[in-house]
Order: sequence, then C-alpha cells, then structure tokens
Amino acid sequence: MRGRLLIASSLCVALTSAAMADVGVGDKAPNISAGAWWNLPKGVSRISLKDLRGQVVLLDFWATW
Amino acid sequence: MQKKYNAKGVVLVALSYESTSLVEPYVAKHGIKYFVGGGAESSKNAYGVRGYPTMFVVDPDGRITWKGHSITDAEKAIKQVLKENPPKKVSSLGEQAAKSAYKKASKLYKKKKYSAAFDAYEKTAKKYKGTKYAKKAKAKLKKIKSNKKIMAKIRRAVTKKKCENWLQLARALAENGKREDAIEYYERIIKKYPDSKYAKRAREEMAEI
Repeated sequence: MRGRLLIASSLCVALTSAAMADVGVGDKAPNISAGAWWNLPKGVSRISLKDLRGQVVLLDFWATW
Repeated sequence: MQKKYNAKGVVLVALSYESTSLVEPYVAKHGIKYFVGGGAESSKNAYGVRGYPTMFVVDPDGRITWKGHSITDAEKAIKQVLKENPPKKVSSLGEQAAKSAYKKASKLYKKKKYSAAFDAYEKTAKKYKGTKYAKKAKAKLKKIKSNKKIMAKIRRAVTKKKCENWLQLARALAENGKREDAIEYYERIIKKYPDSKYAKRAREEMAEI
C-alpha cells in the first residue's frame, strides 16, 4: 500500500516538473509562441526568438490581473 | 525605457498566457504599443514562470543572461548585455521581413525568372511600404521597366500564363458540355492576343466544339 502511494506521488512530482521546466541564467532561451499577437510590424504575422537572433530581447511574462 | 533601448537593438516582447478576450481590451485600454503575445501558455511553461511579472533578458546569441521580477534590475541587466555582448543588428522585424522578401525576389531575378521576380518586387514594395527594402524594390522595378528586352520577356511570360489558363478552362468547360462558357474564354484570348499562337489555337478549338 505504502509502496504504491510512494510511486504515485513521485509520478505526480515528475509530471508537474516536466510540464513546468525551470530555465535560468546561462540556459538557451526556449522558443516562444503565442496564440495571438498585437502591434507587430507590417507584414509580420508572428514572432519567434529565431527572428530576433542578434538582438537583445527583454521577455516579459505578465498577466492582466 | 523601450524607446530608449529600441535604437540600440533591444526588443521587448510581452507574453501573457491569457486569452485574446482578456488581453486585447487590456492592450487597447492602456495604449500598449510594444509587441504583445496572448495565449502563450506553452511558453509560460517552457520558461517555468510561476508569478507575474517574470522577466528574462536574452542575449544576441539566444542565451538567458538574467531572470527576475523588477524592471529596475531588468534595465541594469540590459545595460550589462549591451556592454558585454552588443547586438549584431538594430533592425526591426518589419525591416527583416522586407529584407528577406527582397532577397527572394532578387534570387528569382538572378535565375532569369523575370515575371516572377517582377511580381515579387512589386509585392515587397507594397507589403513593406516604408521600409528600406521596399524602397530598394521600387528602385529595382524602375530599372526593370526601363529594360526593353526584359519587359518583353515578362510580357511573353504573362501572356503565356494567362492564355494557357484560359485554354485549360475553355477545354474543361467544353468537355462538360458548357459550350457557351467555353466560347467566352476562347474569345477572350482572341480578343486580347489576336496575333498570338494561343489565339490561333483558340480559333481551331472553338471551331470543333
């Protein structure tokens, strides 16, 4: 019984940490994507970090609340 | 701060996991002019973001040099990167898009696909109006238009494309018993390009249906 509980809980931890990567200083910045974009320049439909290579990017994760 | 660093090759990208219904009114209400992405749930997860705001500074090589929550610290981190690993380009996304469109057109031109190149230059000039490469495309179009040989080649290519398309349509219509409609297309060719080989073909085929 305890063995099964241990397996279940470690599986939970493994799953959540897989969904939430931890990325820090020195790491390669993961690519970005969004369902919708605003204020893009004419002719540009989306942004990826590849497009911005060679520039300095300030990524700001925010929420309306 | 954004304007101050834009000219130095710094780009701000603001990402929210929230839906368009929340993000759009917010952007409008606050008159936000920088790049905003909504529905960015997978990015938020990829970066391990748990609270807001969480900011990252990414250097010109695509590496994270700073992570934090304070805009003051973000600015310090930006100044540091600008010093230690300055941007290789300052151009905006629009300029980059225009540049690659222009280069595609130039490739076609080099391959002597003049009609396709002409269309591609025209598209570039129109779609990216106001950019440096749109101006270059306009200048290139002017040059092409003054070249009689190339313009003749372009005209022939356009004629060929149009006529072959109309012949195909006419034949398909004729096959489906739509004689009147087929004739309309044959006559279009004859009217517009009366001395061409296509007009000859059109007359021949029209006589047989």
